[in-house]
Amino acid sequence: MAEDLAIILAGGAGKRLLLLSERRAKPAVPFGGMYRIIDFALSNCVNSGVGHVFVLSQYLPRSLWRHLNFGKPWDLDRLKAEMMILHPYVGSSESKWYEGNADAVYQNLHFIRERSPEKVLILGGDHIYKMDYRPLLDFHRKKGADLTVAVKRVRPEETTKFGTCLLDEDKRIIEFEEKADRPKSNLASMGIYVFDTEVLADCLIRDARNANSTHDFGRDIVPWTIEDRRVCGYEFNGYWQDVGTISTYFESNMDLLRPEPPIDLDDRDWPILTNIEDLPPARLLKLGRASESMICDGCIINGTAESSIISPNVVIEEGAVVRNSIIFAGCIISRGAKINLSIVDKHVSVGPNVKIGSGVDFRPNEEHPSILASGVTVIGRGSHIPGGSVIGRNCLVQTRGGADGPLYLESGQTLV
Amino acid sequence: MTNTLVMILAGGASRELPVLTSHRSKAALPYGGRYRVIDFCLSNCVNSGMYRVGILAQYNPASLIAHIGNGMPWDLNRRKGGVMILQPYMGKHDPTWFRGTADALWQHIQVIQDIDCEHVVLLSADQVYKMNYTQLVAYHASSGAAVTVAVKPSSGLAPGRYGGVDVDEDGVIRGFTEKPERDTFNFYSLGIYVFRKDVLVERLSVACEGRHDVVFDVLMPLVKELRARAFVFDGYWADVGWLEEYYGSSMLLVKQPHLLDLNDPSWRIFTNMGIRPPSLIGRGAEIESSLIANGCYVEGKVTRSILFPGVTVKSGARVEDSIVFSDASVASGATVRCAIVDKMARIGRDAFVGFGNPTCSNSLYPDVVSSGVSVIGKRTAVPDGIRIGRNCLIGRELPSEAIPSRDIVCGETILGEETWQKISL
Repeated sequence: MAEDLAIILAGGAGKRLLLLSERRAKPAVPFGGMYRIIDFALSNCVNSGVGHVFVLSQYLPRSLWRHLNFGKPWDLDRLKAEMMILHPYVGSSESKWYEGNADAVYQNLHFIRERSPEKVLILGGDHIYKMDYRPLLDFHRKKGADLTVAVKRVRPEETTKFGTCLLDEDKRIIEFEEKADRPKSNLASMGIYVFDTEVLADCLIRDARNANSTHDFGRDIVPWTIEDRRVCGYEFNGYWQDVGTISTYFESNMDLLRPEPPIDLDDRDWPILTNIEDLPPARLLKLGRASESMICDGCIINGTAESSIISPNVVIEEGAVVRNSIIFAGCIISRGAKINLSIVDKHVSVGPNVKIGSGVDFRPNEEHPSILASGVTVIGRGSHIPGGSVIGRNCLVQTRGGADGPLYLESGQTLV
Repeated sequence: MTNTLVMILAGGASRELPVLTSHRSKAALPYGGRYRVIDFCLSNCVNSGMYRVGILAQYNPASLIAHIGNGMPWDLNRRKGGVMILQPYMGKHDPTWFRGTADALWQHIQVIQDIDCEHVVLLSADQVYKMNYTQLVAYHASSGAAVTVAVKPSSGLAPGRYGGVDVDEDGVIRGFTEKPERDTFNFYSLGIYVFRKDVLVERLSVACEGRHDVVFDVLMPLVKELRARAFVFDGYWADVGWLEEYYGSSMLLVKQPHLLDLNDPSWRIFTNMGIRPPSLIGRGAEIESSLIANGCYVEGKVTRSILFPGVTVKSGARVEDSIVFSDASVASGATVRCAIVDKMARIGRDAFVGFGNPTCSNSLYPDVVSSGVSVIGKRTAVPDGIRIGRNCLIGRELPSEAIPSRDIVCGETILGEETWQKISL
């Protein structure tokens, strides 16, 4: 019997992250200055001693592929460990795109069987958390479960976003509802599943034959399996954040700046590993100021950073002020620019005296009122914001090439 | 050019960097917030397209070996070539340690002979500079010299430390004096050489009868025969094998960063560094003109200083004109001024390192520690509230009980069990 296998679902589009996932898969979206979202699940695998990892990709995978680099940064390129990226491919009999996360695993079932793992751990690639999977796997074994779902208590107002379940005294799941309007429980599925390999195979084959299925673990596989298999719920109490929307993404980044951050990135016993190039130390110049902020290697700061996350290779020029914002790698914030409550994607150049996230008008984004309403403005990757521009709140801006004059965007406007 | 073999001398013990090199070779000395000194010549090699590198190591090589690993960070883990650490080994004949630079090369002459190359570049690991060795080798090859020495005009340099070189108008070296008393030469040697391989091999076989020194036994005879030429290098270059130079060159990184630009994407300096999270800058922190590597936690005031990864500066603490190595911590209310604090050292609450003015040189190393810089050794715990003056040396691995809880005055030395090393030198 070979070692357990982890499969990370990293193929989804992550539409609610808007511009951030416009050109990259959601698991490859930068997080915490120097990480990508998928680093958390990957590091959890390695730290838990799960050395065989498959990553399923489909949507805009290049940024993800490059980041994964054959597993090297996570030490998964060893003799007794591996990382394999499983991408849709043309086969001799049938060739199709993955039609849901369960279908993605189904299409690769032969690879899983080749490894003959006892158990398969299915993970989302888009959650921020630190979790030792060993107790979960032990729980699964001890309970003699066919399938174990990791669950976490969430605030009542959040329950509608998740699949929720009711447990009996034996921790067996007796009822499971996917994103119900009035869920009976606040125990939310974390999208983390442990299957006995043969159970997984049975479930996936049955699912593939079902023409009515959407081929989704949460929506289809788990509810059906509960009916005729032993499915248990493993309660997890640590920090776990689904960063599926701009506001949860923003908040969980900002959580890192709290005096006692809910997730300790500097934990030597549980390092979060990532693929990052070698850069010189951050340089604070004569007028550079930083407080309650994260700064990364390669930054050059001669302006001010307050309550912000400043990713590698960001330049903040004299007189520029960045507050309550996340600046991705390689951005240049020119002199006198003021950025507040914004997410600025990679390699954006912000011209002199630009104001982003200004004003007291917090009207939601006109095109995405339900997603972009917390006041955060998002500037798309590689945009050039001409000097003197003024951009309000809840704005989405993606420019290509050089705009001539300054841009004036009121709150809630979109310029793509 | 890709076939050129590079040999890096990383061997010797060093009394010029007391405390800091008591447990590591000069080559492995931390520098610039996240590098080790040897990163500079290694990065120069790969940036120059030279991928065959031998590192001659003998003195306390553990941290150097761990740092180099398989050479991957420098792209030197290659099927052909790559990096090799060459240590003294036991062969069929009399085993000896490296008796000198020439002997080190001679003991590994097989490596030099086996590689199909015309020229051998010989470097020292304890220098920081950016140089394209391709230009040096091209100049050397076209001139037909047996050896070419990289030199710099000798204005304003401490005599007695470097080789003095007399160069004529054609670039031929007419005279070479090792560590001259007086500064009467128009150039000084940077300790960067390129030899014709056949000449080097032949001369090394003779040198093993002499002082075992490349300069005395190989270079100087070639100078006498007028077969040595000079290559003038006008970039920034510092030999950081002396405490004063090490400190001064480090301070230039924060005061005049353009001299040795670490951010230059066209000539990157590579290093081997584990992953650390971004640095956290707390409320009330003030950082000015400083380098802050990843993984630091700063609440206090940091001015004109270099913080290596994982350094903690608590609230109310001040770090000024100082270099703090990885994972050291400065407790609240403490001050560190004009000091080098080695890895994992802890400066206690309200302690003051670098107190007062430098009034005298260090008692044990007056020639080396005289410019006002104090050194706190690796993993040493400076007790709460005490004051340590200038030019002081506090050894490594000292628990706070081992340090007297009184003012340690200018020039004082507390080495603990390390004193035996001083005696044995």
